Amino acid sequence: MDSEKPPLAQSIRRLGERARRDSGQHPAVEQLVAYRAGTLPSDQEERLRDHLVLCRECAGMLLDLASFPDLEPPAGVPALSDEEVAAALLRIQPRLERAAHQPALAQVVPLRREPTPRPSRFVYVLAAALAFMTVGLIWRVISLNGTVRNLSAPRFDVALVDLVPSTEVSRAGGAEESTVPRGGDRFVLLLNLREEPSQSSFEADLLDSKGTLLWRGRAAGGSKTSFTLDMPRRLTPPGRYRIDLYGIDGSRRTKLADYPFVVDAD
Amino acid sequence: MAEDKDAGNRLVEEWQIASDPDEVFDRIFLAYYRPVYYFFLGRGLPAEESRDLAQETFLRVHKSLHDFRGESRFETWLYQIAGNLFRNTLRSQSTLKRDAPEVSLDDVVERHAEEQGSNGPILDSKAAGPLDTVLAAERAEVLRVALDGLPKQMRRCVTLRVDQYLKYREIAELMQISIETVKAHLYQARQQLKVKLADYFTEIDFEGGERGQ
Repeated sequence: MDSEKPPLAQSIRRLGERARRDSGQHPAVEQLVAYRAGTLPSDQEERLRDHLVLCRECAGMLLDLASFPDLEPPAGVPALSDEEVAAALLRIQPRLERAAHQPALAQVVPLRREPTPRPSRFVYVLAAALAFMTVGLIWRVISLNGTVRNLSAPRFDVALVDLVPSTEVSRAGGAEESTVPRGGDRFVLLLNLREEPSQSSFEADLLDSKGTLLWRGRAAGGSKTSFTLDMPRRLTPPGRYRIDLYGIDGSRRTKLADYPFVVDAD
Repeated sequence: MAEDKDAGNRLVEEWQIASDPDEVFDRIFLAYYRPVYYFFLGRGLPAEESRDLAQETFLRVHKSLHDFRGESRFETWLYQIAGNLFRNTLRSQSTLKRDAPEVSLDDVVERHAEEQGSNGPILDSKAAGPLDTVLAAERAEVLRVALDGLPKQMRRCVTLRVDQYLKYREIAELMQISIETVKAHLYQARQQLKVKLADYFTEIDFEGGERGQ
């Protein structure tokens, strides 16, 4: 009977041969490295051990890793001489040089940004001034819009002062000068003439008590014996004033009358 | 080389700051070409292909040396490059061979059996009749049950020792246990298997394997 019994080792190898067909995929080289370093999770470690038992290739690779870089040549193969290693170095050098001169196709070169020059203090001051002016202009426009709206609106109970020429005042025996009453921001002067002038356009000068010209305005239109003058009170603070009325005939300017008046203090 | 474990990392650091990096790379090549070449040779590749792959390994090293940060040993990094190159080569070779007719080991065994005048599976080299076939199947099952009855680590040690002809030191390295533990596992396995398998197998003393210690 003993003569018919096979050796145990031979039968174990045969079982191993069959099991090898189901040994699964080889682990990655990185997994072998991690297993040897002891950094593989325990479940993966167990699976890898089972694989190593069946897979001669992976077992061999792991054993080589363990003895790397002191690997010996396989049995029966002579060790490389220094000359053979030097020859291998000579063989690789042309390829290394070619690789060094090849542009890296996938290399990403970051864009180099030029440093932005820091603006001078003058620019900041200019910008601040412009911003200030812009705000001021906006405020002014808003304010003027208000004024325009105010002026465009109808006024109720505006003071009306009927002025007579100074010559008429003298003739009347020094009657009192016309007086603008207090109150309100405007008043209307009515300039009367005794006779209808021949000119077709007219000018009026507003003068203060010292004879300084404060304002000049022109009126066009047909001949007439009365004019109205809408006066802002801020132009005429309390005091004495006079209006000189001229008739314009081409380049000729003829004084028609003057109208003294008094603005009362508020 | 083994005495100075950081030699590789120091060489790389030197390469990274050197005014003449080519000279430093030559030193790296001269220091590590042999193990890389032996690695491919040891995987069963012919000498010429091993030379080509070793050269390709160093080209990749040269290309990636800027990125090596020294978080691992240079030797381990180098091994990974060589290992992945080997795996890729095997993969592309197996793709090329995919269209070739495949012959399974069973076919070879059966053809061998036919040549020997037997149609059944064989457990030994001698011709086997129907009774032998039944006996062989029974033996295989008894062996499988006996091996499954061993503790997992012990079973692994037995398989590595017998099936892969590994030395105690190599089994210890693969299983990450001590050599003493390997010896103890194999001794106990032999005792247990002797009791269970003496009637079915000869030469149960597998401890003195073919590769010795």
